[in-house]
Amino acid sequence: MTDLDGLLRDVLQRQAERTGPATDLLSLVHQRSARLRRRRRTAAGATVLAAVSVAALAVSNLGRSPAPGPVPPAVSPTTPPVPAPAPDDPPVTDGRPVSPDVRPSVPSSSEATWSRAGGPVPRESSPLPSRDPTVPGRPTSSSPSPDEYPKISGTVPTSVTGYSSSKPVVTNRPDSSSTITSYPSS
Amino acid sequence: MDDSFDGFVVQRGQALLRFAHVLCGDAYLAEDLVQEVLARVHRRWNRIGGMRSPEAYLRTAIVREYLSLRRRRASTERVMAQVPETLAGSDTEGDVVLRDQLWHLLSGLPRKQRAVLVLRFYCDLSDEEIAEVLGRTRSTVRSQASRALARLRSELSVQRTSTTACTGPQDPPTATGRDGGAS
Repeated sequence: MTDLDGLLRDVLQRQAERTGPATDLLSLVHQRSARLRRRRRTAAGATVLAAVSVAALAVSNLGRSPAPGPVPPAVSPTTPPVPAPAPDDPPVTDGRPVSPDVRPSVPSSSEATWSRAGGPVPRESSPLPSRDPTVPGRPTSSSPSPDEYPKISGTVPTSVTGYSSSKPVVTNRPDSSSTITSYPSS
Repeated sequence: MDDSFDGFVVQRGQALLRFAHVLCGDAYLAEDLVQEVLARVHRRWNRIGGMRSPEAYLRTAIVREYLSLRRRRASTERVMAQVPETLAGSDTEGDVVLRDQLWHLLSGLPRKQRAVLVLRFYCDLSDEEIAEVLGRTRSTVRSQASRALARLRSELSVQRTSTTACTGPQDPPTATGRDGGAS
């Protein structure tokens, strides 16, 4: 329909003529350009700062001695595994809640062995008896190699999310409990 | 660099603003589009200013900026400065009404279809040039234009019919008019 084409041209021309004058367009463009430039510089500065921070952290980590490997929790085979108490819930004794200052000092295996960010915690003060090196299947070193990590089964996988060679990640979720059922046979 | 850029904005800023206005249908959005595009090209004006047609580059940038804006929800109400009139009177008034209706129908089109119509009927670009501006194929441009025109025609005819029905002479109901003739 040629009529509609002509009408469209007419409408668009008329509307274009009704556009207001661009009096201060140039100053507004310069203002916006300066704002964009400032924003770009700020973003670049933040990027450089982040890169420098990461590099400094990496350099500072190089000077630290590598953390020892994970220690298998010393749980006697005859002792039933102690479930890890939820950190937020007070322990219950005889049906009554106990205040935190009289909470029994039975740490969960994950809390006793690992810190959240610092890797394994030395176990010199462990109240548990020392291990018998003659018992097969029991690790004798306090810092076994990564191949000697204990196998974990049962409900543990929700709390231990993975191992690395030096710093395993332990999440310590409140709803998780640690149950160690076997040790490596080596 | 700034002198060349400033001169270009002073000379062609109004034309760019008009183009953006007919493209998006909103004077304030048009100003925003033009300012945004000009501010972006400002620091690269050494390269853009040396092009054969910087204005064509800027038009393309405006169209793409307009198409990349977040889509408005079609179901929401639209704020208008003037309510579209639906009165019909003499021939001249009818033309004005028709143009107003067409302008408002244009703003109801999808953005790509509207951009195709503006580039074709306002900038007088060929389908190949429109395809180049939009980054589409020529057949896509043709189909978009065809759909847009068909929609405009159908909606215009609907509006004309409803306007005539509202303002036209009221025929007195006849005894056999409603039922199609009771026999």
